[in-house]
Amino acid sequence: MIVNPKRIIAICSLLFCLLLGIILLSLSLGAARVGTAHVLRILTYHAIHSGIPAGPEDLIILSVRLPRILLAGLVGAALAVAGCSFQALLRNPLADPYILGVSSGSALGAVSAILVGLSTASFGMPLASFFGAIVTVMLVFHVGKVGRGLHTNTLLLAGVIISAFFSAIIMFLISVAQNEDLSKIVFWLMGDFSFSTYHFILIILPYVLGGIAVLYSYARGFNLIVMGEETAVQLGIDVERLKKIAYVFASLITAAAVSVCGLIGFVGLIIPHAVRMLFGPDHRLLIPASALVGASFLICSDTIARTIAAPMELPVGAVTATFGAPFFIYLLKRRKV
Amino acid sequence: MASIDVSEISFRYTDQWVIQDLSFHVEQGDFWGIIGPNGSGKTTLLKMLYGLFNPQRGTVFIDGEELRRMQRSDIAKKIAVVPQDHQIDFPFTSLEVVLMGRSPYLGRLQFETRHDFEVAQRAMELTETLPFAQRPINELSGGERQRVLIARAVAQEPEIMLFDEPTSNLDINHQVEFYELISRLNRDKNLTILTVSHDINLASEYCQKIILLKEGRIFKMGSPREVVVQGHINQVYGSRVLVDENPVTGSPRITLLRRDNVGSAVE
Amino acid sequence: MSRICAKTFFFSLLLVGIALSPNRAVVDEVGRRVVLPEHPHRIISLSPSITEILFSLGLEERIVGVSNHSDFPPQALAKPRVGSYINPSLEQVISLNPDLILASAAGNPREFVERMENLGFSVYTVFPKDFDGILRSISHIAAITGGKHRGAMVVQEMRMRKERILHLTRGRKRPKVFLQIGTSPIVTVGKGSFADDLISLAGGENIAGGERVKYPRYSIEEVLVKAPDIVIITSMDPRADSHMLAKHWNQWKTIPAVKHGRIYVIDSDLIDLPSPRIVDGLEAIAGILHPEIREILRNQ
Repeated sequence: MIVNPKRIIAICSLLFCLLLGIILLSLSLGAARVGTAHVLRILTYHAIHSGIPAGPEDLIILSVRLPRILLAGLVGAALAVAGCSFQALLRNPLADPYILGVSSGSALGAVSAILVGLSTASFGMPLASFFGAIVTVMLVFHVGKVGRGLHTNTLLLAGVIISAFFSAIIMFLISVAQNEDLSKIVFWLMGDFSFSTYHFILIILPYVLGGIAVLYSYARGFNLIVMGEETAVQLGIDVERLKKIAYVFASLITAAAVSVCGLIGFVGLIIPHAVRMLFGPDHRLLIPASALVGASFLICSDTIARTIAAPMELPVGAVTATFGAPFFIYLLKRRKV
Repeated sequence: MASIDVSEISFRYTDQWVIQDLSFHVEQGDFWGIIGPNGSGKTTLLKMLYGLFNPQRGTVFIDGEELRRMQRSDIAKKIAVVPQDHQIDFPFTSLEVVLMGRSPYLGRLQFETRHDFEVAQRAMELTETLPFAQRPINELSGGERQRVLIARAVAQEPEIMLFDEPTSNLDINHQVEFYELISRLNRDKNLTILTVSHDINLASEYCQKIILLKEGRIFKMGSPREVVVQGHINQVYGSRVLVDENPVTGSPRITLLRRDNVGSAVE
Repeated sequence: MSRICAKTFFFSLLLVGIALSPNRAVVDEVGRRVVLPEHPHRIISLSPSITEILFSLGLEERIVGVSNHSDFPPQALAKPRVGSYINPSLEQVISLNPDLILASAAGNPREFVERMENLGFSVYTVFPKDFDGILRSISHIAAITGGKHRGAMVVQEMRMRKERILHLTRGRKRPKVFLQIGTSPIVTVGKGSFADDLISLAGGENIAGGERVKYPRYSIEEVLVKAPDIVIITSMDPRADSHMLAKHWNQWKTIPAVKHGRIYVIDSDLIDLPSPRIVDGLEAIAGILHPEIREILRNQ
């Protein structure tokens, strides 16, 4: 089906309603029981009267669950859009946002921060992780440049090698870590939303929204570049500029997302696929739809992670992988990537 | 009028010159074929004609303008390229692919207009690809895919069309169909056409002029009758061929010879 | 409309109530300023050892939630769980509406404590580093829960028993001790761990006592070189068969402990938890190190 503004708005509105429903449902689920109607009452009460919460339930909804859900949504959107972009950039529907090394760089930053004694709830953590990611991106970018252009295969190789190198350093750091640090590191590496706060949301919001907006403005260019770089050139696209922008901004939103919650896998890989299967490969619809579906998916996963074995919390990365892996196998079998 | 002026261009990727001192002039409405053995620089030459690469020496002029100074989108409005067939992994429908040809006319944030749809439709009618407009391109056969890519090129409303070994993956019936189609485009729309071809017979049958490349230089340029000559072909390809005339059309036709036939035919 | 009025009214009452109820500020064992009510009666313990302390102070009625592995005394099993030591559940704790939360700096995540404080809860953190530190923590907890008297009694008894051990072991030869808490890799106790302190108090010399890491990893070679007179095995893993571990040592015949059959198993809860039972651990180790006094300890 051909994509036009009306269709995009219609589908995205639908997905947005779905997202709102999932947010509401997730607010009512958790270790403590709070009914949906009660949730709505709390939300509307506090929307009108801003101020101190009245009871433990208000506290749980507004200060524990809501920031966590919103952050998960933001991260899910970021990872999904980054996944779309990398898949277009590398012309490979099996690429994910971590493929070019962002994950190991941010992991190294985070692990170092933990070992140095930074609290995982402080601003130092996301900063260190973001810094690690940016350094890695610049390194891979630099190594992947061939002449004045970005050469896809060289980029991939550079990403793999630098990833491996940083992973080795991380393994070394883990081996000398003490017990308390070890559990923090493990939770971070597996993805963890338990310390989400509104502050974290505010710090990554501009990066994620800005990054998604920029990438979306190149949506038609993405359509052309997946047909082949030479094709895109002959159709009038400045391919080198597109590649650089896609790479930079997709890495930026990935780095921002990972810096506040650790490494959550599969979202960037399977969401673009699922959306492509449902709505087609046109990026003008794929990108916003992936953002919305990614947000919904990660919120669901996080809610499952914190409720299925309550009061214990599963790492959200384990939940996404548990759903992601079988789905991916199914996709491969159908060969409708 | 869209003319191509190639003025003493030379090009190399790394150390070795792949194209050396090429010059030729193509007029609007011409239908040219570029032939030569592998490695003679055919495809590289084609890529330089739409500015994918720029020559280290010499200049390519399109309508008197230097190609290397032109904006990408302006080039795309004048020149359309149909690439060699390749695997496409993303399930765009044929119509979506043809609409991509309208890209040079759209702003970055603009969507296709009714006019764009009309142009695409006409292009698909011309190429008889309307029946599979809604089918994903990765499900089409080689020949069908080829025609969709031609439709895309036509939708660009170019003045010049470049083809890169367009029939190498096609069955013989489709090969002829292909050349018939582009001849029609050349005649009816007065499009300038250059096609790189590995099939000398087809090129000599349909093209008005032929460039025979050898090691990056023009070995011979002219009408098929002037270029497709036994001595030339054997010298350039290092082959043993017999050149006579197609009994129906009169165009030069090459016939491959076996080792043991050589003595009786070569002069 | 009226419902909102009613809510506002009760809410204001609550505020007034909070403002009027007596609060005081103290500094906890990690240096944080904590505001807490004079008589907390909804207490949550975030560590099994703190749970033990609360029970020993007779505060069972006032405990509303404990961490997952709080299993001593048995009555603790009946209390609602709030998540694990390293991963307490925000929602569980909040929904129990505590007026005092007791945390341990040794294991509860700092971030959790900070988060609860930001949400307006009173969190008092203990951080005992050795035997005397445990006594202090018990006193502090007693003080903030309004049980100074009871606390003094508990601490006094523990102190007395410790003094007795010191007295009984004074002048005796200090055997070299290796305390193993993990099998693969071999993990022992170093400076800063309670077990190390107990070994010293019990009149022994921890061969890993020089290690500045609390739970250093040791290779078998280091143990062979240091040749301990006594090997004590404990396991925090409830599934581990300590007696199997003991047999494992028999292959290293050059170690004096093996030669003289001085390999012992001890319950880890007694020697590594900063709880009142630490003094039982002290006596157990003293009895192992100096068999002569075992009879005396048993009789008194």
